[in-house]
Amino acid sequence: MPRNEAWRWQATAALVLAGLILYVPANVLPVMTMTITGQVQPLTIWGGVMELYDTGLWPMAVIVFAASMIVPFGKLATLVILLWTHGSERYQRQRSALLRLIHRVGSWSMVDIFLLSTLLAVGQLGALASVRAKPGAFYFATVMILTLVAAEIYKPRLIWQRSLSRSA
Amino acid sequence: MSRSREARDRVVPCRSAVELLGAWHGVMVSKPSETSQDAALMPSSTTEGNSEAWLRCPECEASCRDRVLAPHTDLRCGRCGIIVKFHAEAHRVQWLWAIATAGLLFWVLANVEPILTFSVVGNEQSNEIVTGVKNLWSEGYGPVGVLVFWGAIAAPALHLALVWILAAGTVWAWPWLPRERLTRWVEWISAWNLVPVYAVATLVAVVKLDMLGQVFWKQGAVWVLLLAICSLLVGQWFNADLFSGKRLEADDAA
Repeated sequence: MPRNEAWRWQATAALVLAGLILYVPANVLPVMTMTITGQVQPLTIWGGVMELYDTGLWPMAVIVFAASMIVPFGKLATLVILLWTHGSERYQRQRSALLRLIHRVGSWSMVDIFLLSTLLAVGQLGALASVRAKPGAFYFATVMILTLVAAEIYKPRLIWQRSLSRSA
Repeated sequence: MSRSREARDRVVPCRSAVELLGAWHGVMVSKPSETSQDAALMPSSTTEGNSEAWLRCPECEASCRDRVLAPHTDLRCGRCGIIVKFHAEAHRVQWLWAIATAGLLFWVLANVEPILTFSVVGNEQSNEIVTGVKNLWSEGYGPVGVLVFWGAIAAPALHLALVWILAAGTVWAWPWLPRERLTRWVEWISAWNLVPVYAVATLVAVVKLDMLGQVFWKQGAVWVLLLAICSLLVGQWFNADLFSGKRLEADDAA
């Protein structure tokens, strides 16, 4: 029984496109501001990584860099590659492995959201220390959900199907 | 069940075989207690016509020829290379059950005890997992708060609870349990069990807070760590084949 699954390609493409657009504000806008003894300090995702690196804790910086910079971008890039090569019969094993990989590591970009959640929980000490969430967090969470849903909709079997046209 | 050697050696094109047979449920789990190989070869799905000789790859949906597996071996798809069938021992379900039980206990403890305490000049504040959710909500970042609640509290509990029910239902042979539906749910929800990610985020948070004031670990941190380990183990060991209906029939026959 043949299934018409052209919608899967289209839905994945739409989600990835939305993710790419929202990826920009997610990285440009600050995710949170930390106010310590009167000094307001906005932190972007990249700023958070650099702050960790500057204090000499490079293993921690590498973890956060991998989870919050490489994973979201790698996921979007991988999905673009998979959508681009859709229908081709070359490198099917490698493409299949890529899809499995982004399924496995995809959720690690939640590190930043959980970090914000923990800092918000304890950073409510009035004038001494206060942590506020900023719009960047919202965009970052949206990118994470969009790519997760996109990877879920694009089934591995689509890589192995032959003569499947992109348009319905 | 008898399978002739000719049938076993016959080569059938992958795609047409998928369409003809649709052998989705042809998964056989052999038991280690059975002594002869012929007994292990006998799948309990013989009633489904000739579909037992072919398995459908869960990844790329190619048809794979079924064969008897020696202990500790697996059958891989000839096209995409992932595991289609493996030799499962009965104790794997029991292990999974034990880990899921422990995980549920740790989940309760991790959610009632504070994880860390942060203090600046004598002012102190401690957090539980849910404190961050509340603060995100009150800051006007409700959707992000919901995401944290789902990934760090709700989904892990549902994941472990579903695995627990499946394992209990398999060991105690509950006939009314919708195994296949539950198995699909577990596979879906396991991607949302983000407690290991939460544990790493807490570690990073401690590093960050350490620059600003004094930060202390609380008991909750131990429970979060143990919960994360249980979640990882359950995610690693869970395999749909362990809970297929065929498995129950094989157990009953023994």
